[in-house]
Amino acid sequence: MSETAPGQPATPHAAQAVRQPAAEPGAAGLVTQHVRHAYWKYPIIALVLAVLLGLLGALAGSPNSPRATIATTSRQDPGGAALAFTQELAGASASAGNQQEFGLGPPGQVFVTGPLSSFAPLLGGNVAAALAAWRAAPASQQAAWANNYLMALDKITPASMEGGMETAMSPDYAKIGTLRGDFGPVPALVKADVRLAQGGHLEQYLEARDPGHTLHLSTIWLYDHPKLLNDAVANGLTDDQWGMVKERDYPVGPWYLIIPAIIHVKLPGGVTGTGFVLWNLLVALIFIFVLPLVPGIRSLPRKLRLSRGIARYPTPGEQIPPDPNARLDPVLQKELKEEGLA
Amino acid sequence: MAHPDTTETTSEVHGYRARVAEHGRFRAVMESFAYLPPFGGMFKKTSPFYAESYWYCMGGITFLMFVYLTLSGVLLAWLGPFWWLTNPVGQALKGTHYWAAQAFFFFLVLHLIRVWATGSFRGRRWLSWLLGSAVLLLGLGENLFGLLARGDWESQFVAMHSDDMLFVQPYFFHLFSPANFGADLAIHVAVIPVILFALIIGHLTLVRLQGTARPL
Repeated sequence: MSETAPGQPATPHAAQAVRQPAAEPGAAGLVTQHVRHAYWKYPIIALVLAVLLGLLGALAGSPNSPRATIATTSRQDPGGAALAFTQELAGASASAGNQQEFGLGPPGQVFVTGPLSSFAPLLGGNVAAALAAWRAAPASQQAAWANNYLMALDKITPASMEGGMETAMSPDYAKIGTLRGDFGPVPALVKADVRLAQGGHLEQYLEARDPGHTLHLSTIWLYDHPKLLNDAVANGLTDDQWGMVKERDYPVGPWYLIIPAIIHVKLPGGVTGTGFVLWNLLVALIFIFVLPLVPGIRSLPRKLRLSRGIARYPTPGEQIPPDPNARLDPVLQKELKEEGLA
Repeated sequence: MAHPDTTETTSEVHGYRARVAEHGRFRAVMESFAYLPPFGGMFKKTSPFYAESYWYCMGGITFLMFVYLTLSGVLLAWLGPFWWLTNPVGQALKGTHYWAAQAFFFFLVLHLIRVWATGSFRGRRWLSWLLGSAVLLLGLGENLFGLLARGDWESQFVAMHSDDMLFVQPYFFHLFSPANFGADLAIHVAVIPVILFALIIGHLTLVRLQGTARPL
């Protein structure tokens, strides 16, 4: 928004003065540099933009893909649910990385043994016995059972497609009863938890376990299941770091290119959180300090005369005398003098 | 709109009648907002000749988008996620909020180009550049939390994508998880916008004090 330079007096009837030639007598030099600001255009611009935004909102809408739920995901892909529960028991799930988060805890306990304990009286069968056997075993035995079962699940998992997409395939749940090995109570626990998940009870348990999680635990479990990531890959949302700015069915505008310009860089050690933070910090420092302060770089726009395409210059017949009151601040005067541009 | 004469500014030069005489009733009425309270004392009434270009409006339009985002955001927050995800009016309002966010960044980038190309970041105006940069960077964060606060499938996926990439890092002390929808919504609605507003007010105050930068 335009403002008056410091020290400028208000200009009586400035608009009339604009088209006066420079040779006009009196205080023309004081008044012609400044014109009455065209505030009348602002309500029109605001109204046009409001209508445009309203039309876009109503006609183009905005991204709104239906949420994934634990129940639908587990019904569509029960093999993936079985894989997720087994990985959680083995400590090998994606959620193991979230274990230290406030309010979470060991995934095997949060997503498998915890809910099964709560529902055991309703589930009947061998669930209570399986839970007791699991809890009675030492941690090393628990890990051995779970890892054995993981390897067995791998044998009934179709090979991933050629092409190297980073998708995880789910075991064939119809064949899960054919597995044999030293699994301890793991199969009973996993199958019971798949039933809980498919019925929607696991989601209810995770939301109601403690107040305030607000989808926290459900979302973390969904990322343990291969489907969420597979769907993202299928929609092209995960290539490198694009997932942050890509929208399903809504190609982002070119103005968002500033975001990939900042964050989309493959670091030598691969994409890591620390690398991401350090790279963004570096870009921010360049943006805030190098671009505007380093001699030579800060003078680029002036040397390239970029303002010629932006500032308004007099049209033929329109003579604007130099503004005698336009003063540069002392810091800038010193900088320009050092660069020989004053 | 109230008749400007009833709340006349102190200067006759900027009075309603003077402005009607200068450039007609239509323009005088349309610009009244800049001459009446609460803006009357805040806005300068004249601008340098070189700034009479739409390039110099980009910052103002970016602020206007911030106002749209605030107003539509208050309505959305009031009626809640179920409404904006399922009700046709709610979906349309959410769409408007989404496009206003696109426009916010679009005009902000144009404003950034104008400021850089005219050398308006030089000298003491660097502080203004600093505040503007903070608005851009924090705005990107607000954009991410807006995505997380939408409550649809993409919110779920991006929550975990950003969580596993960034927020499980030990320097975040494991105190925050983007998978928690309640935290996302609170941060998007009540934390970042307040900081953004303070930064924008600081930015505008500096522009008001320092005036428009002469193109270098």
